[in-house]
Amino acid sequence: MSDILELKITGWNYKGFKVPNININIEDPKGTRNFTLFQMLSGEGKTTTLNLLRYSFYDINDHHSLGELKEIINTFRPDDITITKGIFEVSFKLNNKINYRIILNFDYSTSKINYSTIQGDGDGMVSGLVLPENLQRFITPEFINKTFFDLELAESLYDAESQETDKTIKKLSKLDYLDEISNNLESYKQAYIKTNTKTKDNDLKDKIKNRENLLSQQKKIEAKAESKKIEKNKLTKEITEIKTIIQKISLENDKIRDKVKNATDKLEEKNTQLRDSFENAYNCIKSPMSMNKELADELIEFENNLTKKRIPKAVGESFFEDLVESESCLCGHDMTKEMKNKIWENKSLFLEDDILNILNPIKSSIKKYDENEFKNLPEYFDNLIKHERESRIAKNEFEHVNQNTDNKYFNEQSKIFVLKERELKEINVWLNEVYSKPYSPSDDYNTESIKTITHRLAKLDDEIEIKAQAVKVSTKIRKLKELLKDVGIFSLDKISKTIIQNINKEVKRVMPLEPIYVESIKNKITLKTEDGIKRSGNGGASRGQMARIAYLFLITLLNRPNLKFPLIVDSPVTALDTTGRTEIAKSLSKDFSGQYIGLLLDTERADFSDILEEELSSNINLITAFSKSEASVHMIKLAENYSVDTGEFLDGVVSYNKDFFNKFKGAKNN
Amino acid sequence: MSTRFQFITKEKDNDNFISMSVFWNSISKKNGLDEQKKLSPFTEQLDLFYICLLIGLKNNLKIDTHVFEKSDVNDAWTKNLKTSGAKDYILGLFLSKITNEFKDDQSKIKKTINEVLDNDSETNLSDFGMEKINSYCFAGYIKILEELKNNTPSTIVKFLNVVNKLLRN
Repeated sequence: MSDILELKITGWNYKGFKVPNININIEDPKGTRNFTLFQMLSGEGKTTTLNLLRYSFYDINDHHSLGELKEIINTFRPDDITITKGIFEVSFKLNNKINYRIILNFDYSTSKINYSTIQGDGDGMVSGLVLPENLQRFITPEFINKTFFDLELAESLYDAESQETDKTIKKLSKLDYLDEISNNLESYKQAYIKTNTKTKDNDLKDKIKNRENLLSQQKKIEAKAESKKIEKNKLTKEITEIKTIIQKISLENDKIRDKVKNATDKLEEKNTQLRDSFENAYNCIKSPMSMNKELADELIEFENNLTKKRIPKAVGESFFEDLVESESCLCGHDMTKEMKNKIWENKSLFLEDDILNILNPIKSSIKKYDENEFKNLPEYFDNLIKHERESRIAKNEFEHVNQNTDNKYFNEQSKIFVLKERELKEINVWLNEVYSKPYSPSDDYNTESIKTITHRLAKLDDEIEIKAQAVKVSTKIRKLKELLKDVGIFSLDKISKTIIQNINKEVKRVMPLEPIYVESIKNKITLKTEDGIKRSGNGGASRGQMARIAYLFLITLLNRPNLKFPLIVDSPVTALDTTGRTEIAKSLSKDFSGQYIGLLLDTERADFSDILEEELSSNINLITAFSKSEASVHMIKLAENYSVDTGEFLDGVVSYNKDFFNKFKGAKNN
Repeated sequence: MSTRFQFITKEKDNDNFISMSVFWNSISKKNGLDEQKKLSPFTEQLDLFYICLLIGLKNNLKIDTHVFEKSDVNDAWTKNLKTSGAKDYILGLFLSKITNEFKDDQSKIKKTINEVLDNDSETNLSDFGMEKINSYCFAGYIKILEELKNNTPSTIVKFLNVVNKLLRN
């Protein structure tokens, strides 16, 4: 990152999207204005804006299949199908002096996106997305998705499976460069092997070919697993939301409530039976004498043997100490040194008196064992299967009832709920039983077990290295790669510790009422209370508390790199309470040194925008944009009251007026 | 020497080994979408340790613990295992196994018991005793994995049935 230190977005224009055709200017009069709040109503294009800005910094064509591209492009297409093209243009400044413009041309009929770039002032337009090389290397989709984020990212930071925290730290601290070096070393080794391959050595050539196939299979399956994990997170969130809707409707509608209540009661009853069966079975296991006659006989014999041998009969350690120190034995005879040594040696033949405290309860438990206590034991285990089946039937009935009420919307939601639950189950089965399946030599060639593929690759690598006489080079490269891996692990650990310290320093201020601290950020954020009780995932912590910690995590991390890159947040404080909003606004203004653009709803203003404005002494852009329609007549009137030029754009209004920003709201006052 | 009950985290040179923590995740009580896991009777990691230990002792299986990477689980018996009497039975079985060969030799029995028990420890086991207990537990865990064809159990019912089979036969 030789000379590029700061990138600041200066504006953007939309034409032909689900957003009105408007131009947005991000003013920065003295080069010191870093904060912008861009206010829109729900459904008017906040998320569209976030995604358009994301796609402006990496070429989306290089990162998606044609099918995925088509799907993505369709999400931007306006309802008016006569519009076949969309143009989005974003402007930014590098180091506060070099102007850049990136233009995205969406072709809805061919499902293509073409990029053009204008570098500097007055320079011509070049085809493609042409960013300075150093910047291009740094800005990847993963990087952009973390710096231009919504609360979904915040939630994924608490999920161990996605390992989002580690990925984020590695990306933003440039630790992924180590992986790049490692990959280059591997490429060098492969090139060396190819050079050493004799043209007639068909066996080696076959092995190299097999290796390439396995490698591509490995990449394909890893990508599949990655998308399954994303899908899993999405489904989990959707299921929780639908569940809330279903519960709300069933509480409001008497008929549904009764039907659902009966089905719920039955399901509860069957689940209770199954739970009891589990408890009974485990209670049997905790009483091994009832599980197996051989075990019972063994314990009884053990206890009898101890009793027969008069064990325990204890003598304290002090008894032996006193005895060897005395001049004469208990019988009155004088003791020689040899006699004393012998006594000391043999003291282990007597149990130490405190061992009694352990042995006596054991003996007593064995003696007290009542063989009638678990006489129904076979039944308990047979019941497991029976109760499992009954619970499943009750679950099916419960689902049936939920999908056949007289409320169409309720039925639909219930059906979707069941479908999504099944989808989630299938994903979990694939991830746990196919993808993560342990290595097996009998797996077929097309296996999706990552462990089997990795194992086969390692074996093939060894064979190729020997055949190509590349063992020496490979050993050196392997050592170097291991070293790089260690450096990566060590650095990640060090950086993580510093981040945790920095976040926890801020917690008291950001969460004054119920401080929650970060315990760990290994793979995911784990929280703990002041008294040290761990809180994994969202267990116990509110969504707002989790979001506040996620903010602190990202702010701390983004302040690290040499490059100051914008932080763009969709719905920045939607899940936060008053205190959370206020304190996040204070944290942002105090701690974040790059450009911040918040895409917020009118309902998010309270306790957030006013605090930011105050903390930043009004050095902030407060922009409002909305579309012109019958529903927005009252907004247009209000805008005119604040001298906003409502005629500037045909189908939308953009205001830079701070007073209007603070008065703007979607709902009409009666 | 180990002073605590332990879980196997990894078998050396075997990346495919299912750690006891992963196994524990598949049977422990969790509030999520999995209906059976919500009803699971297993709430503390020592529950899995106890079951593995029981299977190891029942089948008289021991294993060299040094071939594994390990993590500490507990340094005391859980209340549940204490009040149910399970702790006494399992310690009784353990003592029976390790003293079995000296059935008629009172002094050797006493010596062995002195070596493995320690009333000052929350577990009632000396370091030496704990090492031995972990060895039986790990062998029991390997036995369970074998029975499940090196997979985690798909349901709690499946797990309990496997345990039942290994203890009853």
